[in-house]
Amino acid sequence: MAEEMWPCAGPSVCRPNFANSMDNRGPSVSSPARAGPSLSEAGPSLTEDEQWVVMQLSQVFPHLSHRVLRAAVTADDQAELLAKHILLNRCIDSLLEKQGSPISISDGEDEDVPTGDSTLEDLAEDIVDLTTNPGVEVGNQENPIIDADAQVNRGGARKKKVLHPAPVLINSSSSSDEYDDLDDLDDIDEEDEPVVPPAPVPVVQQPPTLEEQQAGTVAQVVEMFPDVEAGYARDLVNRFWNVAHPLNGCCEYLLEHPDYPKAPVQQPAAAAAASKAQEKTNKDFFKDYSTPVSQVYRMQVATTLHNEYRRISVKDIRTILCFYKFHYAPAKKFIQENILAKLPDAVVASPQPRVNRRKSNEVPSSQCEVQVKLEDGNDALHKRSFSVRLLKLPRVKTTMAVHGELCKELKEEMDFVTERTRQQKEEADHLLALRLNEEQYEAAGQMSYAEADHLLALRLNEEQYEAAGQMIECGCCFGEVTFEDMVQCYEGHLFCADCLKNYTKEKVFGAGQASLSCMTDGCDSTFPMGQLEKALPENMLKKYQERLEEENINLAGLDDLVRCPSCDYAAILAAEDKVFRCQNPECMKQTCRHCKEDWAEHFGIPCQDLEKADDTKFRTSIEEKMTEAKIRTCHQCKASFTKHDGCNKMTCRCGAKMCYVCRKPIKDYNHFCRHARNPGEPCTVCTACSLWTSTEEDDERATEEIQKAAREQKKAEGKDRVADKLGPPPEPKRPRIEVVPPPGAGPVRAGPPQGVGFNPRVVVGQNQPPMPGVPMPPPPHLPGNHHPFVHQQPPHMGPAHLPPPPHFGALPQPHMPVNHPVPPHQPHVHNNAAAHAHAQQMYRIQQRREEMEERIRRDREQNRQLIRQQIGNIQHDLENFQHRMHEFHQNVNRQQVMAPMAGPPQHHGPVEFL
Amino acid sequence: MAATRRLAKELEQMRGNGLKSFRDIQVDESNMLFWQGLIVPDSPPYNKGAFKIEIVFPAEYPFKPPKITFKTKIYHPNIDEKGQVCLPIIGPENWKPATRTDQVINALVALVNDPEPEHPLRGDLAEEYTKDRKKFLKSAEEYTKKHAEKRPADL
Repeated sequence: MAEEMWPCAGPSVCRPNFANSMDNRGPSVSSPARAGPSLSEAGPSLTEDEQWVVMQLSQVFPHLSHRVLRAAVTADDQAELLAKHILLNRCIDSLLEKQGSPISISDGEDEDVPTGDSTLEDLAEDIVDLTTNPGVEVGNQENPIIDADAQVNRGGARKKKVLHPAPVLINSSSSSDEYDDLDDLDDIDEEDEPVVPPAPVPVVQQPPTLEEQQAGTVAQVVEMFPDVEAGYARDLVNRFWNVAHPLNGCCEYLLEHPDYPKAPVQQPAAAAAASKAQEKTNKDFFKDYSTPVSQVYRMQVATTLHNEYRRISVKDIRTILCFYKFHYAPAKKFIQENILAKLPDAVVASPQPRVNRRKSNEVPSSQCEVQVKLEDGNDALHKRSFSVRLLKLPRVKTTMAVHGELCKELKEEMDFVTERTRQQKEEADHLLALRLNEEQYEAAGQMSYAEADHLLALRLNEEQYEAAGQMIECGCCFGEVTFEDMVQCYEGHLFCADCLKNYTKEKVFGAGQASLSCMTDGCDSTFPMGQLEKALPENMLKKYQERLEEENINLAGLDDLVRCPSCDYAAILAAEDKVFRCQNPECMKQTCRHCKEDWAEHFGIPCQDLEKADDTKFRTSIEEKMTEAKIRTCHQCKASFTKHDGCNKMTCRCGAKMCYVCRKPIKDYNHFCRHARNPGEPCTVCTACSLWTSTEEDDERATEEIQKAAREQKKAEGKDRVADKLGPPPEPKRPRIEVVPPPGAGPVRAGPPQGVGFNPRVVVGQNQPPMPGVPMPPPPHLPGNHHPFVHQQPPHMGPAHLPPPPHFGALPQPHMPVNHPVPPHQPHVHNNAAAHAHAQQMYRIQQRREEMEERIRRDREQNRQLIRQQIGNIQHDLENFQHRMHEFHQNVNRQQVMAPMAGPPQHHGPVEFL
Repeated sequence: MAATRRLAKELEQMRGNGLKSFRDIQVDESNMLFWQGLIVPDSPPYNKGAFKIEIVFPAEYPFKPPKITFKTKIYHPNIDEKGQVCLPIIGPENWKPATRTDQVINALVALVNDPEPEHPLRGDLAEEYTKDRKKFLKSAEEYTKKHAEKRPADL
């Protein structure tokens, strides 16, 4: 074997050296980089040696997978294993040490290390040889030295030179390249019996290394659980050592059993040093002035302060310094806070010209004297108070007694003070900026930070929702909303708060109802009050509740319910009470419950005796009645209403139904004529009210009726003149001609608006009072004006006193004038006029009428155009506004909240996210 | 505002889904509240023609129902000569804000395909429909041929 020794300077390797070398190996190898290789992976189970080897390898070659290493290590041949084992140790050693220093290794301590001849590359090569097996991959490595290809190329040439660390092992006779070097191991084993067999050798080596590893793991455990007791941690590690992942196991155990024995936190040395340094910088010099200072320091401090505060006497400065144990920081702080705050003159920045002594005498004492109190925060007893008086003139600056720099401690303190003041100033500035910003916002009526933050939070929430794709679609507007922004009905249908607001607005303010049913088709459940409170603004909620109350009152069907005639207040009045005292704080009127007259006048007089004979009163009452003719009142709840659209079956919000035409209460459609008929023509079979009539014509007819009745009444009473004044003022004087549209003249006109004034129907005749210019509704498209039963069956109009009607939600049936009974007196007029009509005049008047119609049509068109334009403008403005709002919000979010706005956007009121 | 947004969405949906019986939907971008389209009924006697309709959405849509008018003359007991039609689903009493326009259109098409003589706007037609169906169908067909629009090519 000896002859096989490599011509290298290295000493021969002998066992003891081995052992030595093993022992000498420091902890460098066993770094706790990997806590327990996962040896339980699939593959051949490894012995302890192998495990250990793999571990070592893994530490050295962290880029190689365990599988690789294991494969490398696994060998059927124990000898090979041993060889590898030893080899690897040496290789690793040398590699590590070589990596440490560029110089070739020839340390005294490690004699087994290859000599200067060998290069690192060779070593690496060797290792590669070992590790490279068919099927074993050597991946991309950080270690550029290892080059699989190079190994292949170099092949035989270098073979012999390889592996100096174990020359004893190496034998040129080899069968395969890779295990060339290792075949020698066979020889070794066979020959050298005294060689410690593989098992013991590793065993001898392992305990220290095992301990080291365990120590490493213990260190890791302690790192993670700083308060665990070291001994306990060691025990744990021991216990878990044979588990696949000891570190994991230990940690888990500790976590599950938090009652592990604890020791005070032990910082590792380095950390301790670091924390000490940290401590130093965290020291609050203002508070902690207990450390003793050197003489130099004292002198320097005194001088510094003297120069800084040249108007404070030296004695005072010394007093202060003494109190603070000659520490710069607290003394300075004290002076700043107590003396300068009150006497700003104490600081003299630049040398001032010597003032005339006499002048300076006039300085009032309040400006140059202050009572101060020295207090020690820690010791309540340690305090003294005295008065500091400023010097009249600033002191002359003294030079620093000590040459060179200020001593270190002083410098430290001064830096600290500077830093602190700077921080304080920054904070103050920051706060000031915030406050100014906030004020600016408030001044401009914009939202404060809190609101902006709130909005930002909402927006972020929304964004998160969107990012997660979890925005919920409102069932009404189909917009995507966050869940927080939604309300739901009792059945769980979701709607956004905005939709609910609009819905309520329509229902409560528009239709006057209080039944907010779910918006989903088919779902009739209502919304819980809590949800309404969450979504609706206060005024709307209040109104809704009012309406709800009203409806409930009506539904209750109280007989003794009396309403105040002037306000909405309703109350139950005992049957025998005649006076209704309204409790509405805004009304408080007292009225008679029967005739609704003011009680003050009514007292003592029965209702019908009450004087109402005034002409004006009569007229207004008639006029009121005429208005009432247009307005219907529900017979049950007395709510007033007019019909806007739809058929004549009106359902009140209290549930009562009535016919709009005749004002009778009804139950269903049977009240109306159900016969099939041609549109526009009255029914040929029955005389019931039509389901579909033109509203305006109905109203006019009603008005006419009242007027007629009133007139006749007045005529009966002999007060003709009053009747003249009934109704709207007459048209400008027109000739007393009766104008009658010739039969079949003109297109059908359904209900011309009153007061347009193109149809002056002036009753002709001497004896008859001039009729007020109330145009009659011309008979529409009736081909003939004569239907026998039309005359006989005028629509039944109630008496002049009509009950005020409620507003019903009518069905949206198309506006279909179907039945047009002609007013009775028209033919009367007709007959009269015919005698006097002039064909020419008729024609002229007809022309005028047509002109006016034209004008009206044109005006209407123009109006429509204007409105369309306006709508377009408004939409345009809205878009701009939205755009700007969007930008504004973007700006708000982009800028830090600190930066003041360039100019607040011109909007007021609630911000609407559209 | 909310009306336009919702209408835009609905229009998109309708155009995307391609309702078979409602075609040629025309909406002016500047005024989403006014839609025009073509109803293409399936059952006789209206299956030989198409009928133009206008849908007018109020500004408070969807809290107020839309109104539908027929621009093409149609011989139908529930549609009057002015083109007005009574559709319960868009009656103010029954209207729900969550009702979508395609549901409305479906209801309308269903009504056209199956008249309701017990609730007529044209009593005479309703009577004819009930009493003499054949005559009604014949008249309706003639009327459709005479006045209705042409059906889209792919039907």
